[in-house]
Amino acid sequence: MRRLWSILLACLYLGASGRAAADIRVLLASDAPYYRETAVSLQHHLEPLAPGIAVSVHTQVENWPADDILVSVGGSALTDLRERYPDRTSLHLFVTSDFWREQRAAAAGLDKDTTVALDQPPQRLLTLARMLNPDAHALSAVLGPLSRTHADALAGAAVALDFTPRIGILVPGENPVTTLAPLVNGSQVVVVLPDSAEFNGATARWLLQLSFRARIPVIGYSRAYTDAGALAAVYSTPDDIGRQAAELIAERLARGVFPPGLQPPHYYTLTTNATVADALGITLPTDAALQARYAAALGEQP
Amino acid sequence: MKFRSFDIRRNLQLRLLLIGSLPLLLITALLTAYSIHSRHGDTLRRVQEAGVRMIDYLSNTVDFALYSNNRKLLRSMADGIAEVPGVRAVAFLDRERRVMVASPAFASSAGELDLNQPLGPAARELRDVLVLERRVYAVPAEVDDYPAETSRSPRTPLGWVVVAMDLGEAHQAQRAIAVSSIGIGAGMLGTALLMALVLSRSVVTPIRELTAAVGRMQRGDLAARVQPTTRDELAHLAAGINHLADSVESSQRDLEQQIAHATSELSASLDTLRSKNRELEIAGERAEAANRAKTDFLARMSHELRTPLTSIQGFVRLLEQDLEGAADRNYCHIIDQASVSLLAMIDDILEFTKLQVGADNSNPEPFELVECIENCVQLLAPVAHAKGVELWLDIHPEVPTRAVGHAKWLRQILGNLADNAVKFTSSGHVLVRCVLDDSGALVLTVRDTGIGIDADQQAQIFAAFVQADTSIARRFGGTGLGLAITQRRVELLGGQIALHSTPGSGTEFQVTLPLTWCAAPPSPRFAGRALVYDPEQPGRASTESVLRRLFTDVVTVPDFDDLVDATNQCSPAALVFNWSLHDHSWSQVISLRHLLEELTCPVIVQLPLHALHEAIPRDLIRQHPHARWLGKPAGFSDIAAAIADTSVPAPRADLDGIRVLVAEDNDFSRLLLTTLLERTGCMHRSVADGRAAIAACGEQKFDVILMDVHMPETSGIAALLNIQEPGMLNASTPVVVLTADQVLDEGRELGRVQVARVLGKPYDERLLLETLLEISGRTGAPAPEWFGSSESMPRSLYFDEIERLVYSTNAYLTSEDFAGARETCHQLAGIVAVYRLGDLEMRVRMLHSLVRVGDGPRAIAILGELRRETAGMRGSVPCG
Repeated sequence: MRRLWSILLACLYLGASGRAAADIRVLLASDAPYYRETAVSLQHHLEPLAPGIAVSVHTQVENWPADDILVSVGGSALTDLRERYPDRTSLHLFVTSDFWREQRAAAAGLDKDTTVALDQPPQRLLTLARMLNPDAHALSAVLGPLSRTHADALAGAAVALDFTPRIGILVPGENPVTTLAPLVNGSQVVVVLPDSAEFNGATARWLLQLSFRARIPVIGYSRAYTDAGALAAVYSTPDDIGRQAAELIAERLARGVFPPGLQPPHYYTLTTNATVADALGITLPTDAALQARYAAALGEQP
Repeated sequence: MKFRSFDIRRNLQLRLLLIGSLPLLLITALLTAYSIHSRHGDTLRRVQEAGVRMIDYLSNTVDFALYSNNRKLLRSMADGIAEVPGVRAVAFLDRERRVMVASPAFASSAGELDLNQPLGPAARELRDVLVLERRVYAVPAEVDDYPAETSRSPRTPLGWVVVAMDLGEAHQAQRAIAVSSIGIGAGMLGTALLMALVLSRSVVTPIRELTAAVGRMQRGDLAARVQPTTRDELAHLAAGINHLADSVESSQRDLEQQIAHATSELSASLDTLRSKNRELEIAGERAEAANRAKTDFLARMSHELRTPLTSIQGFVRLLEQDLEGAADRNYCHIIDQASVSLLAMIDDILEFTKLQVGADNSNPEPFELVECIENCVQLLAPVAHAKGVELWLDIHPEVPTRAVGHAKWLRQILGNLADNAVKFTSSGHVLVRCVLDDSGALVLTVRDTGIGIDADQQAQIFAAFVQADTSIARRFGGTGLGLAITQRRVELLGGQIALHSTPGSGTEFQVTLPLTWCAAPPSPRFAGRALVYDPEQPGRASTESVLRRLFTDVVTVPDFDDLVDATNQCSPAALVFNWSLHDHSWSQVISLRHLLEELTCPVIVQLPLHALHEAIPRDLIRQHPHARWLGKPAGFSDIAAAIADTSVPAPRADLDGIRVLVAEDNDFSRLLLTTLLERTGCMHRSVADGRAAIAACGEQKFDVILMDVHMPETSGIAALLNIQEPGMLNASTPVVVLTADQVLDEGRELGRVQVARVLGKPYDERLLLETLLEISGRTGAPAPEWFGSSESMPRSLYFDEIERLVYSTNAYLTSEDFAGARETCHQLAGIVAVYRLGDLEMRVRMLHSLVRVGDGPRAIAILGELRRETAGMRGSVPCG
């Protein structure tokens, strides 16, 4: 529905303006595949929305015409684009909400731009945890230096889903096991929010190992987490991000502006680890059922 | 395996074996070592890899236990790991390297390690364990789908894992590997050696067979062949050698056939050669016979020519004596001279012929050198003096008197040169000089003031039948052979001849002869000063050279007044007065008379023989017994004898009163003996045969008996046998036997009688007197009446006897019977000495010397002069 609306808007924009559409300049932070996938997804999804518009992908900032729509993919692309064109509103993709906050704190103009967050809102992880463990009452969450800002939101959402939140905050330099072990052992499900990459890697091992020993499922925020031993995860793929970006550009083309501020990812992907589920004795529904039930749980149409 | 020699240079098989086995041995050793080392490394590497796997595993799994300080978990893990095969012990260290948990065996296995120091990434081997160490990090889980763009912070280690891997089995495996590898290597090597030996033998054996076959071929067994046992290159080589042997054998066979053929040809050639040689021998014998026949013919012709020539000469001279007319006598004299010249030419041709055929090859003998030279020169003196040419002979005192060589050749050389000098000199002088050069060779120089020789003609002057000028032959005569003979003689003597001549001024021939000197009896030496008077310098020098042999003090004076002064100043021991050839005034006679009257010392007058008759008054000769008249140039021995004769007191006082019996059948010999004995003061009695001797010895006692062996009727030996019978009056009287028979078997004959001394004829007078003094005492009985009465002989008989002996000598010389000539010549010398016929004495002495050396032609020439002298002296020589 939203997609159709975007297409319609874009068509109206193009028809009303009567001029050639502006070029889309996509600046990649690097030549990483997932950045390319995002750009490709953007082009792919934008084509039906704004046929004939030129999308060019770059890895270096150049002098682009003022009416070109600038899109950054990745953290460094955001900073580079902001540094070159601080007065132009742009679309920023593939950055975490923590990074956005950090950059906004450094440069206030970021609020004018539209940024699509990569990480999921905590509610989505808690909803998945409840859906897969309907009987669980104690929910543990491990937060790091960056994600600790979500402690209150997390706790509120957990309570809303009828969980007893047990939130542990890890401090760099301390033995995480001493923190994690009582958290894991005292809950029925563990939810992990993304933090810094170093924190994520160091914590995930102990968390997964402790939860495995305690036979407690872990709900992660990435497919890799699921592969590492989490029961399930909800996350946005490059295609999800590119699709949302295309819609935003179409809307921009139609209305002339982007919705300012940090935008949660509209599209997400669910993944489960059947092996872990078997080990934990959890029966997973089929993917389709799971998607349907999850969407329903979130109050959205699949 | 049998090695012929372990010398690698001589043993091919050993070399091949070494060539094959040494690299193999080396390769095997290297491979074995490499295999052992590699397999040891593999074993160790496997252990190490197992340890690495183990420690990697532990480092990745133990992080949680270390991170959570879960010692219980660590203990459990350590116990579990220690049970893994190959792992000896495990230890977990915290980040400060303190041991948290260790398996029980860790302390015994790796307790010696200093765990405070990291071991590093490499494994460390301790005895029988291999220790590995790993740092343990917290292994992050990859839970982010998209890596962070920012770099991660350095990882913090959680601790350490130390694993000690057991090397016991590895070591055991290594030992097994070593044993098996060495065993395999040894087996391979042995097999290889065996194969190398077999292969080397397979190579060497055919080569040895080849070598043996070649050796047999070298030793001459050309039938030896090689039996090829292989089909390789050696077989080809064997085939080649066999082919070569076939070729060599064939060649040898051909060569032998050729040799046999050549030998047969050579044999035939040898036979031919022998035949030719035989023919050559026959031809040589014929040639030699022909040569002998030629020589005999020449000798015979010489004799046949000489004999009629001698007769011609004799009869011409008789005819000359009988003829009254001067013209007739001159004709006879011309005939005589022509015959003399013809005789000389015959002699020259004969001599040259002998030289040409080398017939004269007499051996060198000792001879009286000075006497020989003197005789040669003296012979020419009459001719030279007749031409008014002075002839001087200067023999340096250093020249030895005796030498070893060919006296006859020397006489020919000097005679020819001096004869030429006299012949080609019409005025002036001829000087013959003898000195020694630095090498001791004799240098004869004949210098004249004659016509000289042109330079162009000097080159061919020594060629046969060549004279300097054809006019010379007409003017001077001669055959032109003299110098050719002379040069040939000089060459035969190993000498050299040189010619220096200036036409119109004179000629000088210089002959250098290497002679061998021999010892001569010491010359008599006289005390006092000897004076030499000669107006001409060469004469003074020549005489001085003679006197230097006799006197130490010799003074020469060229002026008569100086001579008188010299005699007044000191009383000389002797004076030699050289009569000048060119001074025909009476002043010489007056001066000589004055000297003879004033001086009592021996005075030797050298003068030309013709001057003795022509210029010297007879009374001067008779009144001065201390004077001796010698032909010019007088020889050394003549002068010495003359001085001795006149200066030494007569041995009369010594033999005074001695009674001597002379038994000699020859009248003149007997006369000679009695004359001699009278001079010495002996009382003598002479008998003419043995019977008279026996009778005389029966009548009186004698002190000495002089007995001739050969006497008519009763020989000397028979007489002595009678005289010496026991009881006879002169049985013990010393006997001196006189004999002329040199080959008489007198040894046996004389052994039958008592003989005090044997003197050969011709005997030496001085020796005779010395013998008498020696064997007789000076005591003697009063002389009987008949003692001292000298035999008297008619003068005509005396000269008849001289002429008889002259003719006998001539006959002997003509028939070349020099022994007979010597005998008659000696008798002649004795007779002429009886009456002191000085000039005759000198000529007879020359004759005697020539006969003694076998110089017939010159001796015959002297005989002719003797005949003329004798004829001239008949009636003028005092007898008695």
